[in-house]
Amino acid sequence: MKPSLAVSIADSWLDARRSIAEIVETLPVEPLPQKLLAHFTVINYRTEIAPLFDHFKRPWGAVTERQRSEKGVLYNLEFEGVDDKRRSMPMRLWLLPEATVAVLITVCSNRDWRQGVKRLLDALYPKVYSPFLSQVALRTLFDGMGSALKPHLSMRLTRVSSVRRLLQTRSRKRFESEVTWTDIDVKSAFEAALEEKSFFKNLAFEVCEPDERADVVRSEGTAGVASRDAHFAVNKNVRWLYRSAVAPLLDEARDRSVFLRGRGRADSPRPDGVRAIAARFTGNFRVTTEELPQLTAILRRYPDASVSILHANPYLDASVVDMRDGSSIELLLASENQMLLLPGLRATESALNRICRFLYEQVGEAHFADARS
Amino acid sequence: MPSRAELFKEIDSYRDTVYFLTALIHELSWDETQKKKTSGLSNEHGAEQIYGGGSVTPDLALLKCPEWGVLGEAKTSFSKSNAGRDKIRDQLLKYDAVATRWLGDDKRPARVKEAACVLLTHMSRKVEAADYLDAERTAGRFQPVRPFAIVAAARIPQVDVFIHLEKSYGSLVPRIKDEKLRKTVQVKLEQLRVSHDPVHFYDSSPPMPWLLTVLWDELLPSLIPENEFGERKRELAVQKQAGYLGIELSVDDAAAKLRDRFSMRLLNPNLPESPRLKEVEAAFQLLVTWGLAKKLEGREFGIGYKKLRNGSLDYFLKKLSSDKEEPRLKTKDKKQIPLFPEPDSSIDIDPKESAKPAKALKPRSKN
Repeated sequence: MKPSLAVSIADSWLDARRSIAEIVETLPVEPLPQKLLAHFTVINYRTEIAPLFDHFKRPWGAVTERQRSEKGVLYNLEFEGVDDKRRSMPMRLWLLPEATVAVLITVCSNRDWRQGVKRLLDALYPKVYSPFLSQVALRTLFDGMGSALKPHLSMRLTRVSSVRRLLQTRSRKRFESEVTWTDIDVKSAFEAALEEKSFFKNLAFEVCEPDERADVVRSEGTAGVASRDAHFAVNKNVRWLYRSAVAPLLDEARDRSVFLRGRGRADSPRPDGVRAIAARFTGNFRVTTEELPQLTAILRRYPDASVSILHANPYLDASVVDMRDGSSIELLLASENQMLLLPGLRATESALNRICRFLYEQVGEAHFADARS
Repeated sequence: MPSRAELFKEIDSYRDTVYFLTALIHELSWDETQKKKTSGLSNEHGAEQIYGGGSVTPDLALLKCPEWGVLGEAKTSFSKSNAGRDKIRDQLLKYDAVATRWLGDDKRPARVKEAACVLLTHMSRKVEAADYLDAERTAGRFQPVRPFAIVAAARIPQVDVFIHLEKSYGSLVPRIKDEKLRKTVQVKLEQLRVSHDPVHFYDSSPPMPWLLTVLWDELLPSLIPENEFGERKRELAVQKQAGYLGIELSVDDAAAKLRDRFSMRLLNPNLPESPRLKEVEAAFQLLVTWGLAKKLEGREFGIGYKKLRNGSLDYFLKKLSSDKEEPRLKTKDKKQIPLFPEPDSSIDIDPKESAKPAKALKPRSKN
């Protein structure tokens, strides 16, 4: 069978005989054909990652080895697409030195990424997790991408999937989400979100250049997608995306893993207290006593976990057992502007990342930092 | 059987007592001049202290040798009955004798230069406690030799939750703390939780649902290998034909782990055992009754770990309280309404007629 265009491009581009450094240095500038995008998915891992790939087999897909050399391995991700047909996708795994951060590099359509790579990552949780990006971090990355463009070019968002938290309303829903197909410049989109107190989940962007004929812009040909779960993809100018977005994202991921690691009380017995995380609410966001019932209702719906409310008025104390890896984390809201996450005997990086993401999404805009003792 | 609300209140008051005690220990341990935790403290909370006529186990016993020592008893709700109050009075007198012994005499060297006893009670009970002890003092039944103080405590729900401590009666050592507590001290609950490992149990017996919740939510999940959770859960369940994750452990082991990880032993590993073995054993027995555990050989138990409905605390409260859920309609008891009711036998039917096969309905003729 003739390999698809995506496979042949990926094969030559991600060849196992080339080291990752070579690949990154020679990232193409020219456009990819059809609807293909070069995807960078940044992940954090907790155990040796290569064995996870070597033995990965599920009813919907599997990872096999396509090509191996002393410089690296080119994997093949087989999966079932939406049309129930088996597809395969070459995939290169880049392990960052001296960090538990990896990047999955693939060439495929956005839909295939969701059907293949996203599913693979979900299946590897909690050994692998995506470091989620706060709205502020996402904005910083986009600012970086914009400023790395030639001065006459600008970035515009064409699709915005955003979420607004509803904790402080009497709504029965926890959040309100919408997808907008639009054409808006990045700065105003982020400012509007700040105004509306919403945050972005996924974005599609385009690079535009001024049109000589009128005071309008037209597409320069570069288009891509970005998500809060540390995933960036583009169809052209891959080198630009790598340098301006992926590289800074790697630092963020590295910091995240250092921040979350070793917080369980069994991992690091400390005589002077627990390694608690403080979720400091930013902006004007506060949780008042009147909102506690709403907050308890939200916490009770934390998926794959057992949540016991130990105290609900006038302060909130909840014990959470993550049923995906047996981590226990106690949540204490004893002041208006921050929530403490007190790790139990076992508190894995993935579980902490998951609950931080949940609190960020459903409770309020927060900044996560070490709680001072 | 207590009601759910009563049980919840009991847990709350137990946890508050732990907070009050740890807040007072936190405060007494703080070195005002150095602005850090005093070094060389001896934590003997719940440990046996000899007073001459026998021994006592004060909830709080903190010594900074050779300078000062404080003994204390936490009676958050004081006592409403005279007998109960007399018991507290006698206990405090025994502590006073311990304090005196700490100062040394001809036979033994002094441990500290000054020592005091404290009654730690809730803010709402401080006046009653003071009135009672004053009356006893006048009557000559309560005459402590060493300084004695009542420290009142409360959890104050301001914008931030604080543990409020104030000396409301008598005097305390060291002097600097006596003065500080006289002017009231507020310890932020968050601060208390961050700077100490979670002390969930003190010398007094914990309420059963609380003991079970700590066991279920904090200890047991950490003992089950991480990869038995999550995706493999279903496979394992099939293997074990149990429908849940399994773990085998002995009562003694569980009790030891609870004490080492969640009791005052975090401050001093040589402290006596709390929760007590019989309490942990009772907790395991309850798990067996509810089908969450199985008694194995000897003192071993097999526990089927799973997510409990509405969270563990809620589950245990429901099991241990008198309030039951609304009884559900049992489908077995209710027969389905028959679609074709049998003919009522009370109606006279011609036996000949009934023997005939039922006539098929004929379409009504058009004319």
